[in-house]
Amino acid sequence: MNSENKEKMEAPRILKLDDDFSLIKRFIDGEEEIFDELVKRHKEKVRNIIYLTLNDRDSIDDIAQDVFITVYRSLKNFRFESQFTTWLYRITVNKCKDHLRRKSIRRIILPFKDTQEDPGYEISPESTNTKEIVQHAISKLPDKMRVPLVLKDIEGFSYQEIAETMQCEIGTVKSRIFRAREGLKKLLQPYEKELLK
Amino acid sequence: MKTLRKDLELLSAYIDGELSLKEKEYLEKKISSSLELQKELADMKRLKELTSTGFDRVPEAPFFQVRLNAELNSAKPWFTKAKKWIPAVSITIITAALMITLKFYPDFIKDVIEEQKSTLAALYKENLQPLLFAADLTNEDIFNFAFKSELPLDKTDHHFLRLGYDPVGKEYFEIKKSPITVQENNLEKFVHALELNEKQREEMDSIISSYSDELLAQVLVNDNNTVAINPDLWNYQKAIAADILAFARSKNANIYNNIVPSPVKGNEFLQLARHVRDNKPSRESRYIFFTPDTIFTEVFEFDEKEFKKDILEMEKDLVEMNKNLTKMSFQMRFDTTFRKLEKDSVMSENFSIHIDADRFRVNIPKIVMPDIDMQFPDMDSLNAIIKDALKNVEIYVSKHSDKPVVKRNFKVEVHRKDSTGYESFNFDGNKIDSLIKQFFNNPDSLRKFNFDSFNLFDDSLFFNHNEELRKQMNELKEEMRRFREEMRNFQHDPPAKQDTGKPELKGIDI
Repeated sequence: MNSENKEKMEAPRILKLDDDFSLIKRFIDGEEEIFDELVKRHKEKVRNIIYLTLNDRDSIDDIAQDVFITVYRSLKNFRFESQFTTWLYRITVNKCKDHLRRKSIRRIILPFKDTQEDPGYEISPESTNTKEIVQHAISKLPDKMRVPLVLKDIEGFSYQEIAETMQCEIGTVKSRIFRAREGLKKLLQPYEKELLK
Repeated sequence: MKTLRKDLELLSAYIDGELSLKEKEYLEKKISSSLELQKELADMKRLKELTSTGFDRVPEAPFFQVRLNAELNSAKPWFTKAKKWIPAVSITIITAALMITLKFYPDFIKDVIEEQKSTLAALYKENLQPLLFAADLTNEDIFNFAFKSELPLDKTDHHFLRLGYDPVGKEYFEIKKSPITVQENNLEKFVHALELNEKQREEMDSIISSYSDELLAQVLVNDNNTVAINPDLWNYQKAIAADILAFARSKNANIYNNIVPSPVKGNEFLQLARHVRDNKPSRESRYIFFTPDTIFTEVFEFDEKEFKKDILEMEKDLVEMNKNLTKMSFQMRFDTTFRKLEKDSVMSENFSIHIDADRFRVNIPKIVMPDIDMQFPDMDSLNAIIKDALKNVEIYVSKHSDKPVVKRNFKVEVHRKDSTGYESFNFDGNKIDSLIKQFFNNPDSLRKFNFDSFNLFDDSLFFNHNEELRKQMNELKEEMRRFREEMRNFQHDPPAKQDTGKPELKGIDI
């Protein structure tokens, strides 16, 4: 993506942010029905982040609902110090983390249910579809590496935005994305032929 | 190896466009010279492409928002949910209550309106007083009212109440400063023309004055700008006229027929007279109220007895008050604040005042004096009088404080010799330095004034010098005293004689 295209993509986002602020102000002033507009604007992005983070289609809407309920309850305390989207995506990522944490606890309590899942870097050799291979490989990455990678490569976040969303340093984001790519390269090595098609 | 790993990390950030200019230059230079890095760059770009296109967008969830709203509503406390229904519920309750009320009490709205109307009417009916009371009606006025349709309201300002009929025949009344001057002595002329004797005259007066009190209650006014008029006023006019004419006719029919114009002397008028006598206007009647807001008619009873009682009491109080009135005093307050003076254009605009350490000057504008042809007295002859007057005045100039450094608080006291009082003036010493300097540089000029008690050197400015001098003198005196004492001791207790081989010292007597 060259810088010219990048500018073209970012321009409407700034306008939207201003709009978000005015909607939030109206919501705080008691116009609660305006919350529908905020949901309408951001729900797809939130759902995508959840999907990319968890790679689990069944949980997307439940978590997204949870995210927006949290936003609804906390919006009156929004301090307008950061962009609304940064705040929203941080809540989204935290909800995903909570989900994963709960899932891992469940795995410890009920060890027989998810026995097929292997945290190693091997992928089923039967798979021939490029997207499936890539998705599967990404899902095998640890959360800390997978989330910044998908936010960067798929959602087009900047390192700064990822750092704010994940509440860590830019240097950490840079390092984790690199390590994610290293891991991904390793995972995809056996499928070089399929991927070169 | 470590360097390569660091370069690979930079390469990852490079394809994301997240390197600083310096890092970018460094890396690009390195890439151009390293085949290994070039290969890594190509691999990383390919990997990024794979991840970027590796996921499809999640399909939209059509009922997401509906579900969310349901969730949010269930999460809200009941009073928050109920809040939006408050207006609708309130309107429904009010409507239902109104419907039930109207069902069992159909005249509810009418009664409410009537109640409001009566409240408003009560306000305007409050404290109504007869307008004609102050007019102090005479028999002549009532006679004129009967035949000329005009009643005087204020004889001084010539305000009249006039009854009339418009071209259509509708009755009207007007209160105006009448340009029409009612002919005086009409009653007298009428009585005279009828050739009534003294007794008959008294009867006539009695008939007319019997209407005086009744007329009072016909026009009422109050502080709320209400004018209430009894429409019976028109009937009263007819009744008075009919009564007078009937009496006149009964006393002297011949003259009556000669002096009364034909339209009113016939049977018609007699019928009217009978009618009026039989149906005197009722005292409790419907008044027409003219208010600033509206015009309405209401039954109103003016309590004439109560009113007269009040008037009598008031008159009694007034007489009592006049008896006790022994002293009358006026109290006037003047605003003498400086602000007031500032506003005075003469003071602020025409005079300018300059004050500094050396002078106090008031510039007086040029005053154009009118040409007055006047003989002024001989001013020299006044000198003797002024001199005599000054004999009773003493001026003291004294120090005001005993503090060692006093350059302030210069005080002048002017005493009267007869001890009836004195005037005192305080000045700021700093401001009058120049004045004092001039004053004391020329003491001779002061001596020509007869200031008996004036002590030239009793002033703080001189006092300082004296103090210093006195101190030095005292020190000198003390030195001398000690010296003298030592010398005396030396004489009384001579030291034991010792043969020192030196000549003996002799005491020096001072």
